[in-house]
Amino acid sequence: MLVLLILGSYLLSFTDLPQRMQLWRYSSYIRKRIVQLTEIEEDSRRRALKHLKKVGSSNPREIIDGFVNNFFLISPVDIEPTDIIKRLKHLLRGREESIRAYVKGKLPQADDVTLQNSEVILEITSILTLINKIIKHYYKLGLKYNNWILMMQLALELQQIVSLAKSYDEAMDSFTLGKPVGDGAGPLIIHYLRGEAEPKEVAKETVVYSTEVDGRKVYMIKAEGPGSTVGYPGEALEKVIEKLEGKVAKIITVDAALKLESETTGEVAYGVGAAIGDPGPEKIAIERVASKYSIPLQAVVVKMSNEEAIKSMTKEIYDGVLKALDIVKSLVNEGVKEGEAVVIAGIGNTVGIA
Amino acid sequence: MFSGDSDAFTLVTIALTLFLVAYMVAMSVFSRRKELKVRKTYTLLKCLRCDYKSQREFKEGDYVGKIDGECPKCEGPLVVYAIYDKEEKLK
Repeated sequence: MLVLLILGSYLLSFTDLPQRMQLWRYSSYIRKRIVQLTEIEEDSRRRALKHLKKVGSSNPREIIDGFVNNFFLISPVDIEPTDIIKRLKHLLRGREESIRAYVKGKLPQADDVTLQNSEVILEITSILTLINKIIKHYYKLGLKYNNWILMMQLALELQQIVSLAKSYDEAMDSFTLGKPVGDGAGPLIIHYLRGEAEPKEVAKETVVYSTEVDGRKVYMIKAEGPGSTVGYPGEALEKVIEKLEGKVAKIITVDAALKLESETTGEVAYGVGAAIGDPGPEKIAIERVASKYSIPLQAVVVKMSNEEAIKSMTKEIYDGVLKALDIVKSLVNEGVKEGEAVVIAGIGNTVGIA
Repeated sequence: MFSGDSDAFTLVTIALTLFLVAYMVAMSVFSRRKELKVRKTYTLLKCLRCDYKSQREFKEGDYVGKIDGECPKCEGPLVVYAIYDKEEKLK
């Protein structure tokens, strides 16, 4: 009996039956995950519908259907890199403006905070639809061509993808209720540093505060809250430094950073460079203006996972913010003489933070 | 010899079954413990004049920097200082 079994297994290895069996097993696993992703997508639509109804829309379903699948962005040509940042910036701004015009057109009575939060809610619904569609695409492709390697890769990646999709769905609560998210660590630090200083708009949806700390002039930049926006911190920082004719002793950027699995949430670290996770235009604006005037560029980060960055801020992240605040305060004095200026930029989404 | 082998096989099967049952019970208890946690959002309020601090459950409309009434200690303005989620055991 045992000999027959061994012989049978040996002969099977010369056929593609084991791979076919794996294909069936993985495809069944993927189907279950697709059902889960569809439920998540439908849940996000329900939440978006509820939010849009609450803010006064009479046809919320039409708003969602008109948004999802549209407003894609085609990446600029990169085999000719000349002026690619300028072109990318132009495309990104164009997309943002058309989204704003669409949402404003559908919700004419809404204030700026509601418009910003509604945009993010529609973006999340759109992302969840896109994730579901891409997974279905690879699943159908794998079945069509009996590509068991593709199916295996997809099945192995799906657990992480479903977890991310769940986080996006849960994150909708933060934007419908206006609660700060993990990514708001940078703007929250600026909120604590600014004290009683009044905001001045320096770029679209981006403000600067100026105050004096131990005889040093401190300029602080953040997106204008409490609506959901990241503003244009690169452009704002560039404008502030140009206005000061480059007479700045130091630039400090504060942001949330993705943690490694071995790191704990709320860990704080500092180093050199621009701590900002945008597609390019804002980060390069900071680097260019810092190198133009040879201004030291320092970064302070609060570590968290991708899921934590988009969901409501946790107590661990808040504790990290308080630690980062102390570090930023000590960096303001470190190597900066009295009377000199420092510029601090709090990077991130400012939902729920004025 | 034959009956001895058969006894050993029975013993191994029983031990394996007992181990599996114990493992399943332990896993179900462990997963139940995990489910007993809940996330709640809190709003931390601070007085701008004195050192008064208080924490309450988050209410819709709260945002960091919002003036939310008067301080019960000195009647100074109470401001929303932080909003965060905390994981708690379900009572």
